[in-house]
Amino acid sequence: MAELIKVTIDGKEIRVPYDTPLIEACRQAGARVPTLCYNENIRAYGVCRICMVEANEGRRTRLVASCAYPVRREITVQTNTDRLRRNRAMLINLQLARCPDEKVLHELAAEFGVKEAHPRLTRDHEDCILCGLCVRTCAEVVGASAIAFEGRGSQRRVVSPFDDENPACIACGACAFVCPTQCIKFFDENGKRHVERWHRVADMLVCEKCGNYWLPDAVAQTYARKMGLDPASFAVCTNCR
Amino acid sequence: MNETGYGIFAARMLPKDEPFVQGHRACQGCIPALMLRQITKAIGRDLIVCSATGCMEIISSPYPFNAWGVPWIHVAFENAAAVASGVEEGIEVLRRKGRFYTGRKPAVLALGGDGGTMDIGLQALSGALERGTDFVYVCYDNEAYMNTGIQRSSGTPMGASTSTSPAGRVSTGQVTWKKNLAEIGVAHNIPYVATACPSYPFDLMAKVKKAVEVKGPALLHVFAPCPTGWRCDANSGIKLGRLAVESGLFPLFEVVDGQHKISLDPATMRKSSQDPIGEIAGYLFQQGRFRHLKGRDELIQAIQERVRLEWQKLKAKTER
Repeated sequence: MAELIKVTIDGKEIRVPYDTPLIEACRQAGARVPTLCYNENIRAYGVCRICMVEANEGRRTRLVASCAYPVRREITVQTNTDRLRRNRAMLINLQLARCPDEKVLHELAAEFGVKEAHPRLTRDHEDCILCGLCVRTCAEVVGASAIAFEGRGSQRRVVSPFDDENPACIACGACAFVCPTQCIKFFDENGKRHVERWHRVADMLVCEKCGNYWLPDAVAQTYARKMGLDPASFAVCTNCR
Repeated sequence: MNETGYGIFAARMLPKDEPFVQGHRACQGCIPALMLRQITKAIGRDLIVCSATGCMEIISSPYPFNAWGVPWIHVAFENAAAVASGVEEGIEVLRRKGRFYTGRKPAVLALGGDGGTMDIGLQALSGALERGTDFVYVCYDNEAYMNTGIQRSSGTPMGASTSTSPAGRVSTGQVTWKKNLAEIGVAHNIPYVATACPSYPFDLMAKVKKAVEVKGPALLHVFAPCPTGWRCDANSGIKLGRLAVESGLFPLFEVVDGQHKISLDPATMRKSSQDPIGEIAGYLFQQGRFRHLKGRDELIQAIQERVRLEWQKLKAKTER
C-alpha cells in the first residue's frame, strides 16, 4: 500500500492510503464528522447518513455517506456547509420523532439547531435508533449472529429469533458496549448473566479455587473453540492461575 | 449496568487510534502507562493534557522525544490542577473572542501521581475543584513516589515497606493509613468523583467519558499497580488490581452529584455466602513490599478491620 492519494478536506490537504474510508480521512484532517452507525472495526453500513459530506471528484459535488465511501481518486471534501447542516438537521428530526428521549440524538440536535421533532411527525418512544451496530458486531466480531433485524419500515426492530432466548447468544455483552443509546443492558446476578433485551439468561463459570463467578460459560466455550484451547483451562479464574 | 462485565469482543470494538503511543520508557508491566492508553482511547484526540511531575511525565517525555499524540504540557509537581485551570480559562477566552480554531471545546485533563495529588498538589487541586473549573483530574495512585526511588507518600498503605518507611527489626513499614482522596473530592461538592482501576478497563473508560461529559470539575482516583515499586512480578499488575478491588481494599465506586454508587460489589461475584471483603492475604503476599508482614498477624488483622470498616462506611453512603 505504497500509493497515497491526495484528499483536500475543508481546504486542508492530507494524503491517505488507497481505499481509506472518507470518514477516517476527515478525522485525520481534524474535521468533526458526526455519525451514529460507524465503527472502524466492522464493515461500514451507511445507514444513519449523518456522516455525509460534500465530495467533489472533479465534475460535480455530491453528498456522500463518508463512512461507506472509500478514497480511490483525488477528492475535495467539505464537511460543514449549510447544505450539509440542513440535511443532517432533517435526518436528526426524523430520528427524534422515533426516539425523542435519546441523549445522543439530543446532543446532535443541539449541534445542528434542531429544537425538537417536527410537530407533524407522530412521536414513538423507541430506545433503539436501528443503527445495526449490535447486529453487525454479533455477526462479524463475535461470530454468533444471535440477533437480527425484523420487519420493515416503521415496524423494523432488532430481535433475537422469535423474540425468545437464543442459545447462540454467548452473553459477551459486545452488543451492549457498541450501542450508541445504551438501550441494551445486561447484569450479573446469582451466577446468571441476564441480557434483558434478548431474553438471554446465561450461566456463569465458577472458579474452582476462589469460588467466584468470573466468565459466562458460553463465552469460555467460544474462546476455547476460536483459540484452540482446552475448555478445562477456564476452570480456574485469571486471579487464581 | 456493570461495565466490569465486558470481555474481549467488546475490546475489539474500541478505537484503533493510539493518542498515547508506544515506545515510551515505562518499566515492564507498568499499569499507569496502561491507564494512560485506556484514558486517551476513551477521550480521543480532542484533549489537552497537563501533567504534573511524576512517573508518567518522566517516562513519556525523555528529551527530545514525546509519547503524546495530543497537546501536552509538563508543569511542576504542585500545580497540575492550577495549570489545567489556566488552560481551560484560556480556551474559554479564545472561544469568546472567536479565535479558537474549532467550535468544539477539547477536554482538559490534569494528571498527577499519588504524591503529586495527595501530598504536593493538594492545595492546587482543592483550588481548582473549588473554582468549578471544567476539567478532569486523574490521580494515578501507585502508592509511593515511584520515579524518585519509592519514597512513601500519603497514598502509601499501612504496612508497606518503602525506602523512607523501610521494614526491619523495629519498623513494620508505613505506619499511617492511606489518604481517602475520593472523599476529599466529594467534600468539595463537585459533580463527579470516581475510583477506577485499569484491571477493569471498560469501567475505567466509561468513567473517564462521564467525567469529560460532566460540566464542571471531575476527579478520578485510579488504582495503578507498580510492579517495580511494589516488588512484584511484572506480569502481575492487572491481577493485583483485581485482587485489591475484589477484597474491598480499593472499592470501585462513583459519586454523581453527591450520590454514591458502587460499581462492583465483590459479594455478588461469590457463589458461597462467605464475605470476600477483607480477604487481603492473597493481595499482600504477592508483593515484596508486604513480605515482612508474614507472621505479624495483629497488623494484618488491623488492616482487615480497617478494610471492612471503610467498606461498611461506603455501603452506608450508597444506601442513604
